[in-house]
Amino acid sequence: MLGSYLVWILANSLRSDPSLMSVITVPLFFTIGAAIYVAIIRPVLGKEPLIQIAVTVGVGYVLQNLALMMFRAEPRAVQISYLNFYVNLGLVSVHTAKLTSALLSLFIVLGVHYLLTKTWVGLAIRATAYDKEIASLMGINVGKIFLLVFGLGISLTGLAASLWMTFGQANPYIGSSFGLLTWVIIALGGLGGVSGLLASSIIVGVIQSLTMTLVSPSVSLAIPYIVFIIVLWFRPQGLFGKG
Amino acid sequence: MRARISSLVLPALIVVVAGATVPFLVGFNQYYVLLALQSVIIASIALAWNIIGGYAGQLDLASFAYVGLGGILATTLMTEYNITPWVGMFLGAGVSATLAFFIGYPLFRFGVKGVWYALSTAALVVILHEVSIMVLGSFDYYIPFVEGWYYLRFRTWENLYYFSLIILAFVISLNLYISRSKVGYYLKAIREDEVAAEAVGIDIRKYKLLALMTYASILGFIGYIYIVSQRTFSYKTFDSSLSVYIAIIGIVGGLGSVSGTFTAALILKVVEEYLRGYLGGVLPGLHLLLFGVLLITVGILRPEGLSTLTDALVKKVKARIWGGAP
Amino acid sequence: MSDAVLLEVVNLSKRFGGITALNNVSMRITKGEILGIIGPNGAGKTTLVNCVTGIYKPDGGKVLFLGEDITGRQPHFIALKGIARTWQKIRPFYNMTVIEAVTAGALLRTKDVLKAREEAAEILEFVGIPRSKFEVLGRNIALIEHKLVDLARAIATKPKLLFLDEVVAGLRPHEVDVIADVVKKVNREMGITLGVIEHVMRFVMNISDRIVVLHEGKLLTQGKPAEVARDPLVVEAYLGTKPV
Repeated sequence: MLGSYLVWILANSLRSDPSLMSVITVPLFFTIGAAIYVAIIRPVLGKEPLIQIAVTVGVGYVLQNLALMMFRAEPRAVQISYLNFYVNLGLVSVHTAKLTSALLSLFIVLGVHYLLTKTWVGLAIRATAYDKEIASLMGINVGKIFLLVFGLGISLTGLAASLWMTFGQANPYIGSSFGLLTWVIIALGGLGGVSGLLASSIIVGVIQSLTMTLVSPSVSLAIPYIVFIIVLWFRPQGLFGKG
Repeated sequence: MRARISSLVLPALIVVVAGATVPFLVGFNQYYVLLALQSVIIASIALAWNIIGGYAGQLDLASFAYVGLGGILATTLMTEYNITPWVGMFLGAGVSATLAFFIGYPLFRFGVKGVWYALSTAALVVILHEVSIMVLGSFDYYIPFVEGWYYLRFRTWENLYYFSLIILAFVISLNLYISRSKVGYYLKAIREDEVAAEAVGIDIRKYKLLALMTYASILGFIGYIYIVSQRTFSYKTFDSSLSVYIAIIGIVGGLGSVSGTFTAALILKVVEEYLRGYLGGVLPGLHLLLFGVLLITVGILRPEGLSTLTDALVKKVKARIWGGAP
Repeated sequence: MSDAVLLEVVNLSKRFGGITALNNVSMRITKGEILGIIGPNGAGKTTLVNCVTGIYKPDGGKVLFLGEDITGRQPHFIALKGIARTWQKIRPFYNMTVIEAVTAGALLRTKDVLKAREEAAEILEFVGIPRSKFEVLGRNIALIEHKLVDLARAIATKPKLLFLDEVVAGLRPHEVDVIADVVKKVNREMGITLGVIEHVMRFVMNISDRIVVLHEGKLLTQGKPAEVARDPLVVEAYLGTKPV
């Protein structure tokens, strides 16, 4: 959400396509992520889980209301988008910006998968996720890994925001709606497995689109959440992952 | 035995008596009486939350799912079927408790806790929000005015305020009772360490469910009064942001502290009203922003919240009244 | 000391992914005894206790308590039946006071909070926690006190069988002796049967009536402490080489 607004501001002021703003947003968001980790997350790591969760909820709450205050509730869209046209692909006509965003996102996901499985850093991250005490005994600087992962995660949302703004709009609530959607995908796909996540995000996306057209837009908004609760009831590890 | 009952009832009684003087103190100025009413309602909701959040330690973000469900049911029964809210509120409590059961039973059975529990409850509010739009349309209007105790609606706010004080007294006493009872010990043990709690014979699923359903039924009951005090009957009652706000009150007040939660509810409500009055037009959502910041600050610097201050204050007051050892 | 069998473990197995933590382990604990359970790291000692107390569901075999099959039942049910345990990695109730924590344990056997509190106070004094410490929060006590409070909390549930999971880990030598005395008192004066998982030889050899040795998920041998200490198999399991 934060990213979307930032991209909106930058793209409009610089009069350019939002996706190009990722050059700015990605490194910026890495720094923001790192800062949030150091200032807010790290101090509460030792405290009770409810407090930890509450603090992160607080961050989201602050950002959402900040946006509400600064930009009000009406959605904002960028003025210029290079790929704002449709392309005919046989049976369907596809919006190019959405198509490129989808392809780029896929590319990024594969990149992350490569990072996690084929590089040393990725190995260190997976080791830390598995057992941070042992990882630190093996010489991994766990604090740095946390910092890196947090920064990386946030910078990817900056990237996602740039892509989103090529066809979407910014409003203060997309943070929570995307956020909850993200958690639905993770609940379905399990933590830690990229292939599971890919599969579950496609499933969620398809379910949502189908309900939107076949049932009603209202229901389609609620569907991911219903799916989420059902998944948590019956399959806490997700459908594919090791959880 | 007598000492125990009085220590349960007395604090609630004091709050009611003190609260009852407020309309007189403000010269029956309806703005302030309404504000007092809303504060007492929020305090009651926050104290109900204390049962699931403060004692049982589950970060529940669905308070207004239950408030909304009970309230909308009671209001609809009144407007459509002329059924008195005195029946409607109890039905609301029952329906909310049932919802809590259907949500809580599977969640607790499968050991959903921590962040996943919080997210599930957050999802619940959104689901009810969307479903109510689907089923009832995007309704958002003033309830037609009818007067009398039968409808619990009046030309002025005082009567409803006194009624809400009685509800508050009940919730306070309930909290104090739970705190000292076996249920309270068990809930706190669950909050502290579920695994250790189970090892000393505590059925964690049963007690969490009990806490959840108690909390939900109080909220379901109070829903009608909440809607009346808001003067609008709307799908917006299913408000995620407000549900988080209740959790913020519970945490800032201090998990499990009755005095802390009560104080935090009043303070935050007053701050909200002040900021809304002075800056609301210019900066909507400022109070929520500040509360978010407050939550983060409390979480990092002082997780026990106001409780140490308010509990110490309560001890001093007790010592004065009873003189000597409590 | 009667010869009644309190706990019987029959062909118990537990696997975690590719690792077999328990491999067809059979053993029994008789009423009134202090049974030491030893073995090198990874031998399956804690897994065994976790299977008995319901934290893990075994993949095979049976657990019988006083003749009743309690295999795979839930932890709180098993606690109700009369099996309690203490924790290797301490699990205090951080934001509850010492007396509150033990009262929570006592409430298993009585609904009356005041009665439970009195019982808790008695037990705490029995294990050696003075009244002055009763109102201290769990987060503010020392390690040895944690161990004693943990013990008190478990005893408060009035168990017939109590497992101590590496109870003296991390304690100084004289603190180990304190625990040893308390444990013996608990066994003799309260009549509680004990299963003591331990690494610290001095402690476990001192207090146990009988020892059971686990190695790589299997029962290696059992017998009186002195016999087991001399057993070359046991030495090899611990040190990895045959004794000279």
